[in-house]
Amino acid sequence: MNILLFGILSEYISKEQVPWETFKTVGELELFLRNQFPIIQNIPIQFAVNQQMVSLDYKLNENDELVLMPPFSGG
Amino acid sequence: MERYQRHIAIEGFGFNGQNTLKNTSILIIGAGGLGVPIMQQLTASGFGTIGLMDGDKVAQSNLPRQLLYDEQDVDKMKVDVAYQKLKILNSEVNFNIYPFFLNAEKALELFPKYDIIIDATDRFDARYLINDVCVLLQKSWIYGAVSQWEGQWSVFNFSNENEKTTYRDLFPFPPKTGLMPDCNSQGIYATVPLLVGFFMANELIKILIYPNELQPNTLFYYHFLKNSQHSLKIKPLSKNSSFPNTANEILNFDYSFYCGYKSLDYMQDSDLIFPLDEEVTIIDVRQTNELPRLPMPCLEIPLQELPTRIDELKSKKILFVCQSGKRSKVAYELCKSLLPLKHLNYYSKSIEEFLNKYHHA
Repeated sequence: MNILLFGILSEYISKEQVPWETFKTVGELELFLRNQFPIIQNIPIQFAVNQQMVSLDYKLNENDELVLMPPFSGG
Repeated sequence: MERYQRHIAIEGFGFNGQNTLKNTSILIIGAGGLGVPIMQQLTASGFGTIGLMDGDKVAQSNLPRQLLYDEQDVDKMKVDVAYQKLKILNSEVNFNIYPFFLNAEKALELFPKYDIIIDATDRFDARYLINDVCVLLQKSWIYGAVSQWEGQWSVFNFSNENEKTTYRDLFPFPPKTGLMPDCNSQGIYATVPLLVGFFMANELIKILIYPNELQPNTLFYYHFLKNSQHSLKIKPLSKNSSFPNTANEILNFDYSFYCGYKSLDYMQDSDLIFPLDEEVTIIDVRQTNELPRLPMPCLEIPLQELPTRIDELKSKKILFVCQSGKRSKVAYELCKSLLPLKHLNYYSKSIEEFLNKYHHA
């Protein structure tokens, strides 16, 4: 799986500390991330696979390009 | 029209395209890193009417990226300086100057006067307000924001098809603000907001002249250090009735509090002060056949129905009451975790005492 962390998530989530391939769904992954990295607890994350927004029940595949997009605030 | 000859020469643009710009009115909210390049570009391109809104003054730290302002403008109102300079750039443009920050009253009053709204702010409360008012008024708006070397932008509430998406389809709820760094804390190199601002202005031309080229319901992303780009197709979510969706609800919704810019400084225990604050909504969590009924305006939601009717709690200040004070405490505990951003409280004594205090306050 190709993982792309955008915005502040690239600072708050340490890619090496996540067993990305072990999660069946986006929801399972999100739960793990929010427990593992409490600082992202209150940051909304939009998940996208192959450029499409996906819901939490989306089943992850090893060839997916998974984007984790947070809101940006600077202007 | 000679000054726009290079526009007019473009295939598909022509005199009609230039006339479209002349007949279009745009409201730019925010005269900072994103707003400045947008207002310069729109002014030079000959838009008919441009509204400029910002309550901020020019600061030294703005000068590297807000290229309209110079050293002599520091401490002056941004929109006043911008107006003085932009009218020299193009005297044919009508400018409306709004030297204040956006609020719900101003949004509802001013948005109907403009064809398209541009969000060049750096605050989530303004963004959710813009979103909700544009949804209410069925108005398209252009969004953009930056995070260090990255930018994201989109056109919301616009589509050639029936399906329109909004910022709330992308991020239904705001983040807790303290966790989201802004340009002040994280730093920003000058080119990033300039480029995102120009991308936003470029989307505007697609809305007006080349609507078939516009990719609706898409969030665009660019990393300006890596030169990598992505787009993300946004899907409409099912409607959430807890979002403010009438003018009245928008006026009564505290966006600043909602987005975490205000602290929880209201009622923290059961020692209520009477008369009650006018903004408090009383929730009667008793069964609807229990007497006495409350004579004042209130919402009747029996405790066991509360988990499924939580969307009805729209006011930010809420007081639960019941017959003895027990169920109101349960309601308070339940909602405290589900609605962490609201000012919640409960009346811990009997309904008779509550009525007595309420009437004699």
